[in-house]
Amino acid sequence: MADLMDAEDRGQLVLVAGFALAVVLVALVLLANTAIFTENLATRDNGVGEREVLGYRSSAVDGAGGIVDRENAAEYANGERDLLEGNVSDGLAALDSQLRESAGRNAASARADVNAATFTNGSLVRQNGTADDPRQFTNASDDRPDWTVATGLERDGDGNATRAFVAVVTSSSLEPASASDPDDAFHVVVTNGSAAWHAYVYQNASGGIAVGVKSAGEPVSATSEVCSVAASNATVDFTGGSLGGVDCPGLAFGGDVAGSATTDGYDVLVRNGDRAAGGYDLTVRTAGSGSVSTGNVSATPSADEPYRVPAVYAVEFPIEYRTGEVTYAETVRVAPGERDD
Amino acid sequence: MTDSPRPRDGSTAPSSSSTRPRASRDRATATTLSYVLTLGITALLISGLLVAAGGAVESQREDTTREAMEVVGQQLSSRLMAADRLVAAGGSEVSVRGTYPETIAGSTYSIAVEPGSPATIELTATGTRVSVTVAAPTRTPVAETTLSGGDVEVVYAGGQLEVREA
Repeated sequence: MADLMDAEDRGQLVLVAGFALAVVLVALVLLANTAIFTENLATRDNGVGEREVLGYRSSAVDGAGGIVDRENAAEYANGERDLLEGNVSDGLAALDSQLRESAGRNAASARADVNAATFTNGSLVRQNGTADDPRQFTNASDDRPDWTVATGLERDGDGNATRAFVAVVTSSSLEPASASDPDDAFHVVVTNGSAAWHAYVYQNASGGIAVGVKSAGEPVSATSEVCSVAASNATVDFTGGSLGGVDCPGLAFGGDVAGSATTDGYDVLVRNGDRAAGGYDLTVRTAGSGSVSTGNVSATPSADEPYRVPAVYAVEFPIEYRTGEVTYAETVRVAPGERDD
Repeated sequence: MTDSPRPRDGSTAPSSSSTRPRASRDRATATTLSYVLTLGITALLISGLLVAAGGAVESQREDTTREAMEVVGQQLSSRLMAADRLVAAGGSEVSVRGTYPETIAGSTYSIAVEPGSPATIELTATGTRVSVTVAAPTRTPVAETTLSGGDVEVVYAGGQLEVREA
């Protein structure tokens, strides 16, 4: 190294300047390193994996919905509600272990607490007709066309009190009518005593299967045809809001009558049941004051009459999903086929 | 800066006396002047270079800091929005964690979360006073908070999203 104190060795100025420049260059290199690190930080971030969390949640809800549907459809006898709930719990436990395993492969811990599951009592009302072997939508004992399906159905919090109300109707069985005068056609009425919502199913002028809806408080002439389909038979999903598998936005079961403003419960009625034939299923919430009309619906399974069997209306259970970056917990409510408010 | 250099033996260089027979006492003056001029110009050039390089380093540092804070801010914003999506899906207990450097370009920084529509995240470097603002539109309200940079956690508590130090 040069001796800076020796006056005979000139060049101190250049030497000092060289050191200073070296320091500046080192600083620049460090800054470039920071910039590279920043780029690295920017590109390595792959989100927190909330998609996996939401995927787990929907798998749990869909899977539990399928289990509830299958167990309800197995038609347990009256008094076998404990057996039904036990089997649903077993199904949920099997689902939990499968989902847990699949979450484990993504380095996540997922858990559905099946032991903490709570069940909401319900009844499945069913009439076993099909499009090929249609039966009229009349009551069980005396084939009356105007009858009450269920009374005092109470909502609970966000949940509704009727779900999975699906009917298959044949076009030939329906009454020809129009939206301006549908009174003679088959219709489903939802009423809370002071207001009533009507859904008419009829054959429209062009021969198609049509659904007309009359909101509470409107005159019959205010009925509007919300959708139609040209077919020999079609599936009307009253709670899911579809006709023939196509979305039908105007068909929202119960309208305001079954909406969150109604807290006292509502009744579901059938009118002109002899003007429609096919088959149907619906699940109603019998917790609280809700009940299926015993006189009109058979208490035991029947080949050609509407009947009821015990069902799970809804099940709630806590789920939890954890990874190094995200924690998610929720108590999910599963009621497949319920109308979204 | 330094003393003006003198000829070693107080006379003109031997080479110049040998190649130029006409001896002149004024020749030394020219050499001294030339040294002073050379040194002065060199000093001027070098200090100009240093000043320019220093300025370049400073502006580079600010740029790097801004860029790094933008990255951190955007990642924090994406975590806030991810937490918002999880809350919207119905989550009752939601927490999202993020790992970030404690210093950026050698300087610590602060994170200020401001509620509003949309909520904003402002990062300020303590050294360079460089500040970056990133928007984080969420449906869930966001709590107002200020914390120092580093690992953070977005927690859903009391109906709002809160950014905390992890």
